[in-house]
Amino acid sequence: MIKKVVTASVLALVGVAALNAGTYNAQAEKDRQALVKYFEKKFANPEKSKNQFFPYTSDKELKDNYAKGLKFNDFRLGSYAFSKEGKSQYDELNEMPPYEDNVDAGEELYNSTKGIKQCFPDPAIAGEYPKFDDKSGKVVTLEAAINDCLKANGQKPWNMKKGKLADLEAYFAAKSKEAGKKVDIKIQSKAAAAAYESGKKIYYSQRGYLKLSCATCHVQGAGERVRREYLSPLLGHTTHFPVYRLKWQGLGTMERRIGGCEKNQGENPHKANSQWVAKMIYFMSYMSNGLPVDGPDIRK
Amino acid sequence: MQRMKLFLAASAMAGLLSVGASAGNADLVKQGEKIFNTKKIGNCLACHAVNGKNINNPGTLGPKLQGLSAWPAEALYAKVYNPYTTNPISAMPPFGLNGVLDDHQIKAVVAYLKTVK
Amino acid sequence: MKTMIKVATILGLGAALAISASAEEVTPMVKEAAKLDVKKVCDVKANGLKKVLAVAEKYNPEAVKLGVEFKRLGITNSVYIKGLKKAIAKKEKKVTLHYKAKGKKKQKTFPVDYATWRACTFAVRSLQQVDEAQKTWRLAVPGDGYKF
Repeated sequence: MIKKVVTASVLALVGVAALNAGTYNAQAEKDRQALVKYFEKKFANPEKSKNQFFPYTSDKELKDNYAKGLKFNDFRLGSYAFSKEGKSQYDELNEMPPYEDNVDAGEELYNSTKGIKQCFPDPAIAGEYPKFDDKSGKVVTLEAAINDCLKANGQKPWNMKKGKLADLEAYFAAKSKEAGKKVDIKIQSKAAAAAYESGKKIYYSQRGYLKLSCATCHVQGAGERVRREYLSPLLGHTTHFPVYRLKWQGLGTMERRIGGCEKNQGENPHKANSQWVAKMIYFMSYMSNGLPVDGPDIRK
Repeated sequence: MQRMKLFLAASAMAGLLSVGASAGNADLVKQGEKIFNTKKIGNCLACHAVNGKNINNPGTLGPKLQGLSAWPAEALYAKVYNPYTTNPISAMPPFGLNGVLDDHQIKAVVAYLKTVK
Repeated sequence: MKTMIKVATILGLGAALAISASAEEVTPMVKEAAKLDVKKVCDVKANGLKKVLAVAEKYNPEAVKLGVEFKRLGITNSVYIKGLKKAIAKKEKKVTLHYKAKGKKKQKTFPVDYATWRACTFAVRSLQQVDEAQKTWRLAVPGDGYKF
């Protein structure tokens, strides 16, 4: 009799758990919160936590150049959140943002390209991508969604790294920022959760002849310098795309930036439209959930 | 054959050990310094400052190198060859193991590092 | 009609295999490469140029398939191997590799010994790292294996 009762209650618990497994983003949420905790701790007081987090930076540099007490929203600024000299350069550049022409060009494309307005009736959607498409089993970045729309309307796909696609995205990002949107990536199925996990593993795996993972520089190494360049943290990495990079003297998408990173690791980059890249962006974007969408923006 | 192998191994080790000692070493040290400071070769300055040397904008991802003259040459060689034996997620690349610097190039770097006080 | 279905099936299977292969899993070739002593098999003095290049030719295609091929300063390992095949057959001491970087045509010359050692090392290590990453990736994750 007791056995029957125990079995029944175990079954009931399992049943309840199965219903609650509708929270397919449980692991992702854990990961995100652990990441936020790590970065808030790391950048709370770099001068005081030298031994733990900045063992190779001089006391002088920590005192003179590192801001203290970074809070969640600050991280959308990348290395300018903590580097005082970087922030002052950034503020100067923002007095005359170089991407304004791109936003205008993007608006023009939005209004004149066949199908785009129908595919994206509300342009303030930059914070919602990538999405997971259960039907195809694929991660769909905003770049891929734009090209899917073009193809569905009998047009050739655009270059996923720069040019027209980046301009259109600049418009989407600007409208999203205007509307006060936050990054809001969803994981709503088992397959989506698996894609997230795959992207996460890709992010943390060492690669290339330099055997660097993305995390080597942007988690472990975030806040430290390679030559003169301060390494930006993973938290907030995707909020400000498409990005106007001074190095490019132009606008570029996440796909463009990731290709550059892969080369820096010593590996032949994956194709911009690959699921490998899409899954990584899916993971990275989820990590910035809750941060304000603030693209386009300037970076070095 | 066995003795031959032992002899060769011993002289190879001796060769490695003598890297820091011999005077005709100056050229090797110069080669090592070039590898250290050239972006397209070793690019060590990307992460490392060096005590007593004027390095051009070294990074802070790795420690400032000092007191290396006291290290055995084999230890320096091993570190440059493959730093992952101590830390599997080290930020330092395995320059030897992964085919970036060959045996001669690492010996040159070691010769340079042996001059670091 | 039957041939069309056959072709379609083969293509479909091929595509499916290609998709799963790019997930950087530990394939049989990765497992095989993981067992190699890369210093020994890529030693040109001990094994000779032809044998060492053969190792590179054996393993690099798998690296390309898995999306882990090494590329250094604009030159992929495939370009190294292609150039070396010709140079070694012609018994040349130097090899000039032709590649494109930032849309421009470029070239770089290496001693054949050096380039062969590198091509072999790049091929084997790119696969070995796939195996190694399985055990180490969680060590870098805050909230998982990353200690701070």
